[in-house]
Amino acid sequence: MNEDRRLGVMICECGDQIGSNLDLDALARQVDEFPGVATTRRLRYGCSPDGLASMQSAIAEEVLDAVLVAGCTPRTLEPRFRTACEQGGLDGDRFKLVDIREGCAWAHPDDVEAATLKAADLIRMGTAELSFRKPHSPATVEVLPSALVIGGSVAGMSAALALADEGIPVKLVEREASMGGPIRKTANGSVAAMSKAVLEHPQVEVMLEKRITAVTGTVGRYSVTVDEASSREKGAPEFKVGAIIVATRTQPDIGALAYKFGIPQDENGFLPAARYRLRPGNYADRGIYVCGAPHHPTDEHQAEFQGVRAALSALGHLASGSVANYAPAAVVDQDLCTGCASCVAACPFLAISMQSGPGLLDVARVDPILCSACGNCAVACPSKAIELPLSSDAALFSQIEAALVSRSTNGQPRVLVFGCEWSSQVAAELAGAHRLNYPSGIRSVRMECSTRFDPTFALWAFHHGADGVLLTACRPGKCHYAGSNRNAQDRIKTLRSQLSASGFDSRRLRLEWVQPDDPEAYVDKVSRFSDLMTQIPPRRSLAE
Amino acid sequence: MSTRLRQEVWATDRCSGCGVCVAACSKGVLYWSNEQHPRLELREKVLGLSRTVLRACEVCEKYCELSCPRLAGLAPLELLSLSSARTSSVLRSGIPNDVIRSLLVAAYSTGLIDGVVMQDMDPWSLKPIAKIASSVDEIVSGLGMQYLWTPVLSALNEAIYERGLTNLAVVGPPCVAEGARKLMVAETERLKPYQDAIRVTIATFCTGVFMPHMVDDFIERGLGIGRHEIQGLTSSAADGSLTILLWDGSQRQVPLTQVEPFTRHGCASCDDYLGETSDIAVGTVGASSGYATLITRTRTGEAVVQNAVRSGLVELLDQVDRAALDEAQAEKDRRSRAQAFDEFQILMLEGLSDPKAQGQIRQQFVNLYGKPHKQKADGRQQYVGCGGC
Repeated sequence: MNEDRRLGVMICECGDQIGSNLDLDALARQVDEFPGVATTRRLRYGCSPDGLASMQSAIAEEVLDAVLVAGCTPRTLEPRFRTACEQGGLDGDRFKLVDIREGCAWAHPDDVEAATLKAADLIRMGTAELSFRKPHSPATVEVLPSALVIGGSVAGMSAALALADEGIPVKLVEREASMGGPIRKTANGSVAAMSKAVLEHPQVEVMLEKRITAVTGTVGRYSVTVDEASSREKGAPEFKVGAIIVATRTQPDIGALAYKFGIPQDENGFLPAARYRLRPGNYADRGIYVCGAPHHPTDEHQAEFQGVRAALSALGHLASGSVANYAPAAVVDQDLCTGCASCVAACPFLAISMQSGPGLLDVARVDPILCSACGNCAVACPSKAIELPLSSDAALFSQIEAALVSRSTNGQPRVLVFGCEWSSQVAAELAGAHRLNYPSGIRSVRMECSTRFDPTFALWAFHHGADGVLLTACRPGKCHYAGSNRNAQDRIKTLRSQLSASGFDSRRLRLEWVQPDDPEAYVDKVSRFSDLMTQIPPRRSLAE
Repeated sequence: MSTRLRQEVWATDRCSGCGVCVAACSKGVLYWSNEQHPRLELREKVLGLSRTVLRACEVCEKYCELSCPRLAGLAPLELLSLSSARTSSVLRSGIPNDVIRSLLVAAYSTGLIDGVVMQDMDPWSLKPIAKIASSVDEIVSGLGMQYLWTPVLSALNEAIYERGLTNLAVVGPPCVAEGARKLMVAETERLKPYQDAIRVTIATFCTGVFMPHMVDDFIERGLGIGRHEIQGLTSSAADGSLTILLWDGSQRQVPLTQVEPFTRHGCASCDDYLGETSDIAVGTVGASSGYATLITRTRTGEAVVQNAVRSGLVELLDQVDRAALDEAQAEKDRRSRAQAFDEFQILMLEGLSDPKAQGQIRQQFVNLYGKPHKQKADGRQQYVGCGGC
């Protein structure tokens, strides 16, 4: 952390939406005192061209290296501010929008003092977090314009033909000596004719009586090795492709491929259409497509159709030229990694693999193209060797401290909410927008996913005087990171039992499922938790 | 009562799975259900229609906590001798499992031991098992250590109390050797039966063992090799590969990096790679080609090795790559850092009811996470921990 950081805080008045409910003079005076703050400015309408210009001039005049805008929710206008900062010569990761409108001015309209106190705390948390951010650049990878089709089924052949007709070189690997299997007829002719068309197509290379033994590499650049035992050639043939279409026929093959590519299997061993909420219709890996029998038993019409559909999806991917991942990917410190591979098992996106290290122990590596920055690996890592550039442990600890450093919360219990970006934060902002009142002693720490919650955070919060710690997460089955909210549930359960065994009232720690579109329920849950904190016997103050 | 065990070992995922607590528990309430740590058996008293849960895990001498190598580790024993070893039979094998078998056969034949508690693999199911061998045939017939986890020491009671063996060798990964050692050095009369029976501990070098479901998930599902096709598994840290021997005589080699995701959680913070509390440690790191590295750390270990040499079953070579062993030692720091994070969590839990621990917690935080962002308290706001004196 850079001690002599020059940070600018822009307090947006949002017309009189913020100014009428907060004591902005007092707030600005307080913010001026925060460590690292070089200047505090007030903007009438921050998002207007005037406001943005004023922010940009502040960056230039005060030589700022980070900017915090306190105003509305980041959900709507963050890109506009961020772009303006970048135009003003600041890295986009050095900008942060802190919500004091929905979260303070609108949520606590009857209590100016409490709302101002909360706004100051939120800005303090923001400045603390900003100083630990490490700017990142998006990872990109070039997509190779070629494809592999696994399985010479009707679906596989039709996919191969569809791609080859578009000029994509295709390799088709089939275990048997001929293609098509037991099927004789397709919708438009015989399987024999189809397989002849595939064999004679100049863009298709058919590899019969071969099996895929290994697939390495990442989305857009897969290295594929096929069976060498049957070919009896030394030096296994290895080739590189940009997309893979799975169209096998037999169950054991499907199982092995599903394992290799991390595609979930249903109870009958088929590969169901994925239900990833962020990228519907796709699998964990963006370069892998499934058609035909692996999905469900299909007739020849359906198989042919699915083959073409998969080929078209793959074509879009292949034509894109390159793929980029804008998520701030986790990074493994190879000097600290213990080689236990806990992170490999913890990653829901199969982004982590083990590689041989310099010494006795192997070390983990995160593929920056596949990482979604959910943070589960950072929590699972026993030696804390994994860091998220925009959400490091240090940044979260300092936010926790910043949230709890002020002594007064106007008589309200000090409740720290760790909120999932996709559920609780949305619900909280909606609650503000709907002018729903909830206790003003609540301070919320934003997280990508509840799986980023490390039990140590809660302990650190209790040590800094938090009365209660509430973790809010998407409901089971609604997680945006492949069911990672289950990890949060397990961690809370373990920590609660540890707290009780240590003689600490475990009711002070709680997990709540929250729906993003239900602010009433959110308000009800946090209010009840906050009330509970006033009812249970007070914590013995650590100062005593 | 096993409070500390549950809090500081199980909850932090540090359990090595050596099985010593299950063996030593005076109430016999601990059992394994194939998981990351033992479970507490729930005992109920049924009287008529009433069911009362018995407080079975209470009022005891806490042998589990006394013996657990993770709660309080033992200081490493001094190195006594270091050499390369191989079996002197026609095979001239330098595979650690073969060298260990030869040491055991020699010890058994000369009457030094009358039984072995060791890790083995059931050739039918490919499941790792804790085996008690009390004949030469049983010693040599096993597949030996396969780096699949099994609680080896859970078999101690059967060996000592049921079979009445009095001169036992214990063979397993370093945590098993350490668990056995903790029984041997415990200062309580009640553990005397163990202390009288366990004579020598032999450890294999280890950076982590794999959970047995690796065979189902990785070999069967991932590689498509059926259980019935597999004859045995050998993993070698030296060349970083797992070799799967098939019954048809062929073998498949896969990089260990692909198998490591199945590592037992408790191995993540274990920094004993070279069996530092065992009498004898055997492994591949640092060995000359065709040999295994053999370390002795006690007079007992030395005697067992010399006995095998005299019996003509093992031959030694005074040539070991010390640099490779030192390099392995140098990587201890990584794992001890993992331990420090576990301990920090425990410290914070204890500190919740102990205000005096605050300074220590702050200090440890700075050691592990670096200096926190300075939070200036302004005006009426002060540090929460400050009493205002």
